[in-house]
Amino acid sequence: MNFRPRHFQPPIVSLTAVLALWIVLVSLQRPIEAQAVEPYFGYYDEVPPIDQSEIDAVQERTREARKRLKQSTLSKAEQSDVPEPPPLPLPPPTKDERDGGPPIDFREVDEMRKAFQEMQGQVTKEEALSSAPRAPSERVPSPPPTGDKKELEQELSSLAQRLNALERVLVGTEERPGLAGLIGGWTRHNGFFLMSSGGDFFLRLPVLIQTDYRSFPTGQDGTDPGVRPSTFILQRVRPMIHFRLWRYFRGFMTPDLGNGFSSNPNVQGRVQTPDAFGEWDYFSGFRIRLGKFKSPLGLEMLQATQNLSFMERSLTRNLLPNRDLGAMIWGMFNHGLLEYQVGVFNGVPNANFYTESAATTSGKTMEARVFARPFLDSSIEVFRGFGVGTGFSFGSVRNNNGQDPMQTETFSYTFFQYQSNVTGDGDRTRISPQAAWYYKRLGLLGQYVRSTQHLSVNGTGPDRRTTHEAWSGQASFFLTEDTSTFGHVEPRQPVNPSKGQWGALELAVRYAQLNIDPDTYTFGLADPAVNVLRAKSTTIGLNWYLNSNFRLSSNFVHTDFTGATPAYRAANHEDGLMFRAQMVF
Amino acid sequence: MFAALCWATPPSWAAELSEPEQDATVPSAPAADTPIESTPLPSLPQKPRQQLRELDRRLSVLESVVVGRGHGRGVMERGLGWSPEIKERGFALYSNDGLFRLHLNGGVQADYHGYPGTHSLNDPGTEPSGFVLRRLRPILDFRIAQYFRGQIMPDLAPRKRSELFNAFIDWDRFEWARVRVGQFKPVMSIENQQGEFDLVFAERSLVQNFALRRDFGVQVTGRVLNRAVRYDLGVFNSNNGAVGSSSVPDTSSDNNKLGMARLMYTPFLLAGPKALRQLDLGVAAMYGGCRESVCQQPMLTMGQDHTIFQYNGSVTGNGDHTWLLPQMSWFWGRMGMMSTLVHTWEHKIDRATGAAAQLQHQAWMVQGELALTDDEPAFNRVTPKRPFDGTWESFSRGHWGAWTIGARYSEQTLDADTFRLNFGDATQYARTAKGYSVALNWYASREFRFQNMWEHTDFKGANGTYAAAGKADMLIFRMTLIY
Repeated sequence: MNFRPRHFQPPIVSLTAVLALWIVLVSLQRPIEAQAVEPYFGYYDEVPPIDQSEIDAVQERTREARKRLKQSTLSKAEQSDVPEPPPLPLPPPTKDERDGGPPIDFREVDEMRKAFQEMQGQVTKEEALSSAPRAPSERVPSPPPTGDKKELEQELSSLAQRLNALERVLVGTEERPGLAGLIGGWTRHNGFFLMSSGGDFFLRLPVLIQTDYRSFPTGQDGTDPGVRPSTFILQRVRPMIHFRLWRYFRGFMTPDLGNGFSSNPNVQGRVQTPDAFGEWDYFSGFRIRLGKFKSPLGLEMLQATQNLSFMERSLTRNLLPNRDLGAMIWGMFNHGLLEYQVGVFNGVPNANFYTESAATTSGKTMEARVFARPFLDSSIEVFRGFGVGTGFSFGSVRNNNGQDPMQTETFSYTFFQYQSNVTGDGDRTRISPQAAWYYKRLGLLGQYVRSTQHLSVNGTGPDRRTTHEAWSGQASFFLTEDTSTFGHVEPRQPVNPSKGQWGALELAVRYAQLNIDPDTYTFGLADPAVNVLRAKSTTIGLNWYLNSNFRLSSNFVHTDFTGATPAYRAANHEDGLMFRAQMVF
Repeated sequence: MFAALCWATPPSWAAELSEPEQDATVPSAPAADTPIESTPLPSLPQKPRQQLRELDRRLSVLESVVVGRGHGRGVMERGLGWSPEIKERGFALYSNDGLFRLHLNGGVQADYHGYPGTHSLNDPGTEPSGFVLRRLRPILDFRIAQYFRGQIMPDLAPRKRSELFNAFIDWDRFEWARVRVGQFKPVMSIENQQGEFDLVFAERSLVQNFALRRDFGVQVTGRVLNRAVRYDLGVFNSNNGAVGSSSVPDTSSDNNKLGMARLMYTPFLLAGPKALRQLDLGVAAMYGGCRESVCQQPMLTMGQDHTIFQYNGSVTGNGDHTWLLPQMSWFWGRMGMMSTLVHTWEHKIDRATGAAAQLQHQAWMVQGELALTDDEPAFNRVTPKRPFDGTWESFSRGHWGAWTIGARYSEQTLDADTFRLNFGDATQYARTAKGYSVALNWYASREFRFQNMWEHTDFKGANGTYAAAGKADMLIFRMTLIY
């Protein structure tokens, strides 16, 4: 068939189909409200999920607190002459937003402060009345009971004052919420957070730090491309911001301040923005996401970095996109029984890190993925954690070669890159079947990826097609009695030597292989003297989860290379020994 | 009401207070997962007097939980907001038990740099006078599960590109062995160890030209013998140009690493003259190989406005490098002082000419600070006894903050072989630099301060053809906001 679209443009027909799909899906869906936490594997991202059930519990308690206070008869007592704290001058109003930032309403702040000071003053006064400082519970109303009605009234009025002050500070009114309307702190699943009492506005502040030592015992030759000396390195340093506004609008953004152990000059030593997106997730089966986020293609890529069984992803990473700018519709049915993602993206090169890539051509890339856990509701427990799916992408690539340098798992060795004058000349198609299975202590994950692309030299040469492929298979096993998961591991016994608890210990092995299309060299698209035809890697990992936030890992990676020609001069293997301390919350 | 407060569980002291009072008439705190419906409103005793007493008691408990009393802070100050405690002051989020904490801190330093006298822009490394945003640092400091601590601190000041300064994880379960991994300040020079926002002078002395400013690595720190002795042991990347005041942490440039050790002793901490309680004496040593690069950033004057010395591009390390740093600090009443000496032994080679030698460089500094008001200088943040809060009333009450004056002398001398073997341009760079600084500081509050520093440096060239300016003068006005 000769027809080959030069640019992928979403046509009217596709838009109509999307609209029809929307209507069908919306009619099938119920609001996401019922769903507490995201399912434990599937489309997961780098985003630590928000535990909606915790938020709802807080909301319920605040509502109850307001109800109880309204029922209290004492609080309705007339407020008597409590001395007002001396008024302090307010800073000039900033309502005009002349600084470009959200303004602060100092009047609101001042009212809250006054109420709080009033209550503090009341407490101090009460304290001073009692001759010796005693625990509050021991105090009795003074003077001692005499039965005098007037005294009783006085005490009652004093109590009412105190209760009023408390009430105003804590509950406030609808317009001026009290302190209870501003809730924050730390909880087990949400980490550090700030939220409105209704729970509709929520801010979570997660952090990820990965600090590594990477060494290369043998096989490193200084003349090979991209090799690095052994070093301490901050691989990822991500202070994240995750928020919900008006309950159903979710946003996530994070800079990455780590140096990123990569010989790619676009990444090394630069502050990156891996994720920045907004999402409308009113329906669990139909969510709209816009911005920069993970491309929905490979399963391993969708697992959060902090949750990988190994320190880095396998060789298959080299044929998949990392993050991309675009728009996506996605959803889950029946708590993860079936999930899908469909999106249109700029179409970053394979193996690209998260550079902020504006598109270099008007051609876009469509990516889609479907993943099922068919036995999720099955009575046979052993199959419940099994999932299978596939990712697919199709799009046009021009003005760049659609493939960043391929590197080993250690990121220290570049084993393949196109000649600098090679550019894309049309379609790129990728397909990635994938499966995972988690049962008790055991976790299995495998994926295959095949990337086909049209290329030419200098953009004018004859059209060449190359097909690279890669696959990986991994197994992880907990030596302690812990449960393997695609998501976040929470050790059953967080480390506490005095109680004889030593956290969780996990052993993991992986094999991965990547085959370069031999035509690449036949057509002269890459230099056979420095690039390989095949890379095979074996990884052994040991993870010690001290608690759900802190983890120590060590990986040994051995990668064998097969050259494209006998003249291939690069080292025929690479060994990497890596250690990592990771903190995430 | 009670349910809401108990959700934001009171701090442990409050729990202790309310626990013995559990009786039939008072509802116990519903557990976090107890449905609200199962906790009915309490039935009050019948007699009015009893009823009053009971209400008063309950209200007292509530107040102590919410507002706090005595030493304890209330939930409303504890869960989130501004933490008033000196050691962890700032905006913070806490877990109910305080074992998990997140502090959202930040610091800004805005300067005006002026160059009176004969400041020639033709001299190497000189900068024109002007306003400078010196530091702009959002600081995330957190503690997880009590004994795991971490910090992330980038610097967004545009003087250079934005970069990450601190990102580390601590495990501080034991005071005698605290482990730190990541990127941070190696504990090598006491002057480098003092925080950028706590310095007496706007910039550090010439000793900083030989200090490892920040690096990736692992460090174990401990206090032993009733905290009188502190030790530090560390291993760090030996990246290209890690040493020097303008160094930037980076990945290793070769497989060599730097080993560092420091021992500090506070001899009179527990007994002896009161005036010497805060006297610290110590010595640090660092050792490592250097071959692929020169392992030295350009040496700058204290104001970082003038390059004193820089190796030629063809010069690299040629083997072992050793640093030795005796150091001391002493704080007593209104007075504070600090002194450091650094001596280095460095093997260098000029790859172009083949000339090689072991060079010995040396630098030292001594500085003192005196408080004009009734305040105490400190190694860490100075806390004025009568802080100025930004209102005119504060002045009338005599709350003027703390005022201090400071003086410093610093000197560096390079090995004569440096110029004899042409490792550096003798016509441009100086062999000896002597710097004097005086400072007048106003610490309006713990968070806000103005610093004024005047610095004068005299240079001496290696030979008669030395053409650079014989001296440099600099004035720095700085406003610091740190919380």
